[in-house]
Order: sequence, then C-alpha cells, then structure tokens
Amino acid sequence: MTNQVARLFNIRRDEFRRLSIISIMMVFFIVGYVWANITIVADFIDKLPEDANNSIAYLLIGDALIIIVTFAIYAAFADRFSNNRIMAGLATVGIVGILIGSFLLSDSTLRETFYPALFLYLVFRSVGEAISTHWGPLVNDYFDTRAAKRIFTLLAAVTRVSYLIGSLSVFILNGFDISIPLLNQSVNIGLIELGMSIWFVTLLGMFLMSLAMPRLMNITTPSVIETQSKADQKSYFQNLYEGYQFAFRSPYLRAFVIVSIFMMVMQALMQFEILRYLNEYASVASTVTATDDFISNFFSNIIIWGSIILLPFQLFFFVRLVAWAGVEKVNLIFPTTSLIAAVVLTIIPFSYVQSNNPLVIEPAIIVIGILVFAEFNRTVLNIGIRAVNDEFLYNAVPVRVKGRIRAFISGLVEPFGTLIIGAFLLYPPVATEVWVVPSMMVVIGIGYVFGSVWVSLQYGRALISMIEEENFSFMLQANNRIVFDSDTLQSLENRFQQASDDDTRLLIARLLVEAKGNHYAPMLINTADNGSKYLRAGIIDTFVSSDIRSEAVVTLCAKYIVDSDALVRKSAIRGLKELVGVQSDRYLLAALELLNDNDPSIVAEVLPDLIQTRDFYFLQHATQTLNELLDHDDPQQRAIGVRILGNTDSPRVLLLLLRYIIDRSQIVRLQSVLAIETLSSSVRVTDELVQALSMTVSALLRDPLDRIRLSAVQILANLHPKDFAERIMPALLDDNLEVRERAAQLLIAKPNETAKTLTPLLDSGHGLMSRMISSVLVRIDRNKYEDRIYENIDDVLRTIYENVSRIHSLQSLKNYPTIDVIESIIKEENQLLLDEIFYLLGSIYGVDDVAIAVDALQSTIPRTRANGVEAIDVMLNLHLLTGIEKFTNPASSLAELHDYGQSVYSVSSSDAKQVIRELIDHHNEEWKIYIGIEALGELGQHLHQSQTQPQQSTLDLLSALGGNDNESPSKNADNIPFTLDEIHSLLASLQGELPLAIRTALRRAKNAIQGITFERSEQRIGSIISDVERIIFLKRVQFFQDISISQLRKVATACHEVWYDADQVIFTEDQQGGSLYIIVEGRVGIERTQSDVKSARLNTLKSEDSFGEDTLFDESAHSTSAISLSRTLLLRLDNPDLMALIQSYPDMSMTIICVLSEQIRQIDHRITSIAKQDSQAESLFDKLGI
Amino acid sequence: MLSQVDKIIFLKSIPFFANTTMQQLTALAQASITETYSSDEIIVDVGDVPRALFMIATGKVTVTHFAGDRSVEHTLETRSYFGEAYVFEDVESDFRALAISETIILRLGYDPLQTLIKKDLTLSYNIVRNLSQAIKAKNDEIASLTRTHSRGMHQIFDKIDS
Repeated sequence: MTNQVARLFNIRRDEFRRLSIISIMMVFFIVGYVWANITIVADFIDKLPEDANNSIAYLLIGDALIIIVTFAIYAAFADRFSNNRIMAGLATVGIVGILIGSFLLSDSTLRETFYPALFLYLVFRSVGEAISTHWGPLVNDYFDTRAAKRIFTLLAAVTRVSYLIGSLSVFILNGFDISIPLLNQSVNIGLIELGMSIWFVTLLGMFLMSLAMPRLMNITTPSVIETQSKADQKSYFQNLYEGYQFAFRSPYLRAFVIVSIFMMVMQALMQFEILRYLNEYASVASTVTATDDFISNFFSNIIIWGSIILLPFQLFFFVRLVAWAGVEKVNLIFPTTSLIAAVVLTIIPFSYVQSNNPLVIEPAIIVIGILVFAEFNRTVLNIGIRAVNDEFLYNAVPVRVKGRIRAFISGLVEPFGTLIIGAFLLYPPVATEVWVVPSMMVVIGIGYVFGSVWVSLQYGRALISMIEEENFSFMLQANNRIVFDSDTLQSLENRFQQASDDDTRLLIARLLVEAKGNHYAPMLINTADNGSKYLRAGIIDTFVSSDIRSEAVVTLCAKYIVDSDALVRKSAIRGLKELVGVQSDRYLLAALELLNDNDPSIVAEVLPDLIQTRDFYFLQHATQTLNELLDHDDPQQRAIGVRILGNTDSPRVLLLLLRYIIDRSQIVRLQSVLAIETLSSSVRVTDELVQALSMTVSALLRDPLDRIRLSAVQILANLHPKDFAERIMPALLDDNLEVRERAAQLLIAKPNETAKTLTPLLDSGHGLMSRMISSVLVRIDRNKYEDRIYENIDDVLRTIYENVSRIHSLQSLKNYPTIDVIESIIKEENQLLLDEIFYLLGSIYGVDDVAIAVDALQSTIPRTRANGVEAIDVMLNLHLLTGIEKFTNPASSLAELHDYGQSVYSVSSSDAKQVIRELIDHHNEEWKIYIGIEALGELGQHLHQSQTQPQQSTLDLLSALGGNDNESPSKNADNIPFTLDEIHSLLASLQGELPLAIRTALRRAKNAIQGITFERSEQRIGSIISDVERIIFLKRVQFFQDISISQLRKVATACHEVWYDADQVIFTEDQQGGSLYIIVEGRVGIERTQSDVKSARLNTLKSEDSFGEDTLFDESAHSTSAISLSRTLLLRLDNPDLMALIQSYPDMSMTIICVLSEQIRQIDHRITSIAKQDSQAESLFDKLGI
Repeated sequence: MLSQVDKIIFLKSIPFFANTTMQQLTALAQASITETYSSDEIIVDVGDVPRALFMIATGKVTVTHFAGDRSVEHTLETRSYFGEAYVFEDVESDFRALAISETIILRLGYDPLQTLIKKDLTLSYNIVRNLSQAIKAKNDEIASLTRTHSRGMHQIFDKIDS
C-alpha cells in the first residue's frame, strides 16, 4: 500500500515522515495566513485614509517598502542560524505582533483609528512574506536537490489544499456566509479577533514544530551553518553583504534578477489591465448588476476552478513533466504563456478602435475568454508552475547562501519591480491612453521570455558552479590571501623565535614574509646564518618565492653559493638567478663556479643557462660538461644531458635527440621525447626533417609509457606534417583518456583538415573509433553531430547493461577465484565504458564541467551525489539520465540493474557458459583467453572431484566442525553450467598456432580436470607462476583486493619470485626495507628479537598473506625479522616498481591508503585481543609446566 | 578558538601533513572544524562512523580500543591525533575517544582530504608513509605484549601449530 502511494505521488518511502511534518507545518501556516489575509488586510484597507484608498499605486509602493525592510532584516539572519531556528524566530515575531495588536485593539479609542490596522498589516505582510520565502531553505535542509524537485511540487499541492481548508474554515466559522469582506467592506468586530486568534494558534503550532524539527525528522542532516565554527561566523552585516555580493558575482543570478524584475512588472501591468477591462465590461454589460460582485466572483471562480484543475496536475504530472523536459525547459512555460496573454490582451483595445466606442466590447465571449486566460495565467499558472519551478531554479544556488539569495530576490529585486510599476501607474497617460499598458506588456513580455531563455541556458553552468562552491569551497578560499592583523603578526614573531623545529620556523617565516614582505628580511637572514642547512635553504626559497628582491637577499644568495651543503647551494644559485637575472655576469660567474659541482642536479641547474649565453668563455666549459653527461653510463646523467639539449634552440639538435628515443633506459627515452616536444614547439623545422621526425614519432604512439604517447601526440601537432590528422588519429583510441583528449584537442585546432579526414571514417564500423570521431567532430560542428553523441551514449549504455547481465550470470559461481577475476574484468570494462560516456558528454558540455559533475556523482555524500545527478540531468534526456543514474547509484542492486537492462534495453539474459565462451573467443587479448582457460580448468577440476568423490570425507566433516573460516564457502558442482565433455570440447577447440602461454594454460587446465595437481619447482627455467596466474592469485591477497585487474596486470609483471628454505631468514631487524612480500606457498614467522637468544613471535603468516608494508613506502629499516617456517615461495614487489605504478595510476594511492587503514584497524584489534594471550601450543606447554 | 593562522601552524605540526604546501595547508585549515569538548565528554564512541581525522589542539584524550571483553587504553596529548584508520572508509569505530580535560579538537573530514589527494599525489604519499609508520609503531606494541621464546621453542610451537 505504502509503495503504491509512494509510486503514485513519486516519493520514496523514507521521505514520508519528513514530508508529512513539513506538510503539517505548511497547513498550519496557510490556514492562519488565509484568516489573517481576510481579516487583517480587509480591516487595513477599510481603515485606509480616503486619499490613499483611492490610489492602488500608493499601496503598491508602500507594500514594496515594507517588503524591502523586512527582507533586509531577514537576510542578516539567513544562512547564519539553522533554518528551523529562523522559522521559529519568524513565528515568534508573528506571535508577539499579534499580542501587541490585540493590546492595541483592546483600547476602544485606538481601535477606531488607522494605527492598530496599520500595525497588524505590517506584521502580517512582513511575517507572511518572510515565512513564505523561508520554506525553500528549510525544505532544502531535509531534502537534497533531486528529492526537492519532487517534494516542492507536492508541497505546492499541499498549499492548494491548505488554501481550500483555510477558505472552507472561513466559510464555516463565518456562519456559512461566504460574503467575507475582501476589498472595501468593513470587517466585523468579532471577525478580526477570530482571525487573529486562528493566526496566533497556527503560528504557535509552527513555532513548536520548528523547534522540534531536528528530533521530529529523525535524521541527522546538519545544515551548512551548523558545521561552521563560531570563529568562522560573520557579523549580521557581513552576512548580508556576503549574500548580496554573491548574487552580483554569479552570471546566473544576475540573469535571475533581471527576469524577476520583468516578471513583477508584467504581473502588475496584467493585473492593472484585467481590472480595468473587468470594470469597464461590468459597467456596460446589461446582465451585470453590481461591478464589485462581478469582479469578486470573477476572481473567486478563477482561483477555485484553477485550483481544481491545478491540484491533480501538481500531484501527479508536474514533477514528471519536469523530469521529462528538464527544469530549464519548464522555466520557459510561464514566460511564454504570459507573453501570449499580453498579446491577446491587446485585442481588447484593438476592438475599441474598431468599434470606435470605448464602452462597447464585442463579442463579449471573446473578451471574457481573454480575461479568463490572462487571469488564469497571472494567478494559477504563476503559483502552480512559475513559483514551483523557481524553487527548482534555486537548487543551483549553494546552500551556504541560499537564504540570503532568496531574500535578495524576493525582498529587494521583486519589490523594486513593484516600485517601478507603482511609479509608472502614477503617470497620467497610463489611465487615459488605452495602448500604453498593452504595448508595455508586450515589450516586457518579450523581454521576460528572452530573459528566461538566458536563465535556462545558465542553469547547467550554475549547477556546476554550485557543486564547486559546495564541495570544494575550501579549495577556492585557499587561494585567497590570509589576513594578518598586528596581534597575529606579533604572535607569529614570538612563535618564530620560540619554535623548536625547522619545519615550523620555515612555515612561520613564509607567513611573515607573505604578510609584510621585506620587513622581516633582516631577522630571517640572521636566522639563516645561524641555522641548520635546512633552514638556510628554506629561508632562501621563502625569499625567492615571495619575490623579495632586496640587496641583502642577493648577498645572502651569493654567500651561500659556496655552502658546504648541496641543498643550500642549489637554493642559492636558483635564488641568485631569480633575483639578478639569467643574463647577469654575477649569476653566470657563479653558475660557472658550480659547473663542476659534485651534485649532478646542481650541474643540471646551471648548464642550460651557460649554453644559452653563446659566449665562448662560458660555452666551451658548458659544451664539454654536456658531452660528458650525454655519454655517461648512468641513465640519470644521460637523461639530464638530454633534457638540457631540449633547452637549446637549434633545429639540428632534433636529429641528435632522435638517437636517444631508442635508448635502453626508459627515463632517457622519456627525456628525449620531452626535449623534442619542447624544441619542436619553438624552432622552425624543414620539410625533410618534419617527414623524418613524423615517421619516428608516429611509432611512439604505441609506447608503453603514457607520458611518451602524450608527448608524441603533441610533437606531431607541433611538426604538423601533411598527413597530420591521419597520423594523430590512432591516439583517439588510446587507453589513456588524457592522451585521447590531447589528440582530440589538437585535431579540433585544425577544424577543416580534421573534418575532411575524419568525416568519411565516421561509419567505419569500429565502435570506439566511430565514437571518438564523433566526439571530435561535435566540437567542430555541434548542431550537426550532437544527436550522434547521444546515440553513442545510448549504445555504450546498452553495452554496460549487457555486461551487467554477464556479471549477473556469474553470481552462482562467485566462489571460484578465476570467476571472481572474470567478474572484476567485466566490472572494470563497465567503468571504462562509463568514463567513455562522460568523455562523450564532455565533448558537448566541456570536459572540466562534466568532470566536476561526475566527481559529485561519485561522492559518498547523498546530497552531493544528488547535485551531481542534477547537473548531468541538464545535459541528458530522461532516458539516458535514468540509465546512468541507476548504474551509478550505490543503492542499486545487481538484480535491479539486470531487470532494468532487460526492460529498457531488451538485453537478453546471459549465462555463465556464454560469458566464458566469449572470453575464450577474445582473440585480441591473449591474457583474457588465458583466464577463460583457467576458469574452465578450475570448473572442470571441481566437476571431476565431485564425480570421483561424491561423498563427503571424514576429514572434510572434521574440517567443517572445526569451523575453518578461511576456506571459501562450499562450491556446488550443480551450479557449474558445463559438463566435463563440454569443457573438454571447448578446450579442444583452441587449436592452431597458439602462443606459449596459452599452450601452458591448456596443459594446466587439462591436467586439473584429470585431477593432476601442478607441482611448483624452483628448478624450472624462467617464471614459475605466469603473469595471469599471478593476477588470479594477487586478487585473493588482501593488499591487492581493491586494485583493478588492469593495475594488477602491471603489478604481476613487476613482482619477483623468491624461494626460501625452511628456517631461512628473509630479512632481519635493522635491514633496509622497501619491499612488499606476498606468500604464495609456505609459512613465514614475523619476529622481534628481545634478547640474544629470545624473540617474540608477532605473527605467523600463510599463503595469501603479505608482510613488509611498514617499510615499503619509506624504505626505512625493518623493525622485525621474517623467517620462513617451511619451504616458501614469495612474490616480492619493490618500492620503485610500486611507486612507478602509483604514478601511472594515481587512484591506486587511495586504494593503498584504505588497505593500510584496514591493517591498522586489524592490528589495533589484535593488540586488544592478545593482551598476553598465547598460542594454543604455548598454552599447552604452560599447562604441562614446560 | 583557533584562527586561520593557528590552524595552519598546528596542521603543519601533525606528521600527516608534514610535507604539505602552504596552499594545501590553507585549504586544510579552511576545511577543518574546531570543536571544543569538556572533560568526560565523548568525542567518538564505539559504533560511530567517524570518517574524520581528529587532531588534539589542546587537552588530553583517552582512546580505548575494545575487542570482546578486553580493552586497551592510550592517553593522547596535544599534537596527537586519532581516527587515522577510519578517515578513508565507512566503517564503525571499535574505539571510544573521551576528553579527560577541556579539549580542543581540529576535525578534518574525508571529503576535503580526498579532494586534495586527488589534486596532489605528494599528500597521498605522505599519508601512506604515516600509516606505514603507524603500523610499525603498533608492531612495537604487539612485541611488548607478546611472550619471548628461544628459536628452538619457536620451532617446536610452529610444528605443533601447523
């Protein structure tokens, strides 16, 4: 039942409670508001002085001024206190106002004057407007951006119902007399007390509920304000200023402001015109007896019938319309209908002209129809569509300033619009010339439509800015300078003097220099002279980075050129270069002095500058040193030489650099490519050289190093050979997205050439190539290729859901390690496909903007994720958005995704048999075939065992009773989709010229099926375990469990196999660390020596355990020793290999952080658990008294 | 209450952020929240999901780890930190952190840290190194809690345990 209701109203079950509480508060507010509106406002209008009563213009102006003052006060509090407290505060102001008003009314003399009515009117208008505006921020506290879209629509429906309840209660409590005075009839004495009492009670209810909200809501969603520390809180005026300043800074809000003014002016003009024509029509139509009654009935009917029409629309359709069309398109509905209303309203004065009689309007039905449409638009559509959609538009405003922005627009901009129109209506021709107002309306209406289009276009970008502001505001603010006052500076100076460590002193030095530049130079120079080498180098660096250029600092640098420490010399020469310039003799002579420095990095620092001088005196020394570096045996030195070559400006050096592209050392190759990249961008290269270089560099697009491929693409662009686009095209298929993007950017820079080359290949049939070409072409001609991008995204989504079906089919076999690896491979393929979708989307909406939205989409915080989905929503249609949202939602189960793929993409159900077959048929990637064969071997082995050992052995039963947790859950042979014969025949199908690795895998699989186990032997030539075996094995090791298969492939290659005999020492305490060890076979004891003969056993490790993590990253000395307890095979991963992998896959560092965190938690648990607890054997020996 | 400059200097003294740049420190200072706890007030309880690094600016905190009916308690003072193993994952704590004097804590949540790590690998290296060192320190603790035996006895135990 609940589910059906939730589906009907498009809400989630967990939202019921929160929605109900806010709805109850909303009913309280609206019912009270209706009563107050009818009684207090009517009393105020009744008691208005005669001259003011005659002018609606004065009323508009006065009203606008009340709103401006109210919101200026409100904005000072908004976003500074929690929203529920502000709501309670507003209710309190209303309650106090009513009490004071009652006191004033209790005096019979005062009661007859204008003042109590004026006071109550002020309270009503200010409190009513502030509360109406504050609903938005309050709801946003409890519902994220996506949920708010549904909730606001339902709350709008609740508002409608509440108005009906309010009106009905007036009808009943007024003795079933519907003729409640509205415009100019006096209010009964008893009625105003009744109205005030009801408003008092409803405000009291709101006050209590607001205070109890955090508890009532039963969720912990601290508002942004509550997470700020008190020190970060601003004063009331700063708060106000910050909010308003934000509105001026944001292009989106600037557009919103202008549109709001148009909207207010339009509304007021339309109201004026409708009233004018109603009056005239009522006064001439023979059927109408009383003008006031006629007008009152007209408005009442529109509101009543409009509400009846609007209620089901709001409840069931509006949110679906928004989901289908998007906020930005729905935003155009009301401005368009308003413009239509304005245009049709001009028909009436036109008919005046035709009939030449201003009092006769024919035919009447058309006039009434026009007025009904205009009024329906002005009231019903305005409240039902425009106001609700505006709430959605506010979703693109950061929560931090949302309250103040609303206050700014509702409390300053909109009243400003009212003031404009109030002043305009005082202009005499408005009343006499029938064309003035309609013409104005049409002009304003056109402006309103264009302004709204502008807002809609800005909406997507505003969402991205909002995500940046909400999620990364600390990063943005970090770029601001820190503000120092004199007390802070004094305190810093004291701390600098007292600081005991160099790190802190340098940090404070940096802060002091940043605050007051040169002022602290003497103090810091003195500290450098008397400090450590670290402090000397650090202070020089601080001066240079802060651009302090006094002679004292130059002298300091010159003095430390001859420092005994290389770190200081390096800082000094860099500083000198920065301060006196690279061309100055002072620097060059110092550089020459350091040319033979024993630190190669210092030589590398000065050598390029000496070469650049072209001064024979410096050049002869420099050239000699450069040649020595280029011919050096050490690759690091050669790499330095190559790098320096790249800094010269001779095209002939390019030929020289080509020699190093094929250097045996990776680092030298990389440096040579980087040097060619630099040179090719700065020198003119002849056509012959271009052809020669292009051939060589094109081959580098297949280099295993990402950075080399990236440079190769850039070099091709710099050289720009005739067939540039064709040469660069393979890079569009690169595994690395950065390489692809660079290639795409370079192709786009030559639009004509690129379009000519790529367009014919668009339908080449190669899926990825076709998609990449589309992504390039769409950036050249968006209109032509945009639809193709969306088709591509849909195709990729289909593939993703096909993969989901594959993963789903493997679930029954999940306990087989190889199947687990296959599942990981498919999952990673899906992740790559998802990245491709966002890449395609980035080609339309900008890579950076999409990246921000995707970051938010992948956040663990639901509110941030909702913002991400909302930002993507603007870029995609509902079908594509739903596909992506479902797939990326952490709450989506595999079964749900599988069902979605079946229903939306008609994906047929895969079975495990088909998945393994597909893997074996994967002719492009040998390692995948290998894994497929391994899987068949593993499944076949289990089938064989189940057929030969149908009964559970006694040993198995004992093992089960012993509760050995390390064993994987039992594998049921019934789940295996193959028969042994099928496996045999599949393996037999792999024939022909097979690579060695595949042949080995086939042999292993066939042996496994026959129950022959594979004995590892140290005597075997080459690796004992193949790379693919390593992948499967490493996936089971905790340290690598969350590392992707593509990364594990690299890890597997980097690992070294090491055998140890029983009782052999793997490493000892104090031996330098820097390696991770993984036990493949055997056991290892981790021990700490406590005396010459005794040691403590910290841990005993077995297969799939790892050790050495504690020294892996800092290569520090081991604090424990490791001893093999039996014959043991280990895989060893060394620090440089791991660091190189992290460089290539930065996200791996986060995985390692998580692994280490988990290990710390486990160690903490062990520490707590052991607390002198002994092993079973030790306990036994204790009992025996040994 | 800690000013922005105080926070920067304090963060620099925390080994986790020893090698961070000034800009990163400023960002971290901006993202961290100052919290004041009175004596005997619980900062993190067993079963909470802390998802933050807690750094003690002033005061004293006892951190008690629980495992079944056993517990181990440590007292931490100014410039110490806790929760480092709980920042990066959504796991419930098995420890209770209790302020034992008036304490000011600088709390740094997961999201800003993750954002900064994504932007700069050096910060992640630093964190990895610090976590490794924490493992080393905890190994020392295990060693102090574990009995010692001669090599021969270890061999006998191994044979029996295997």
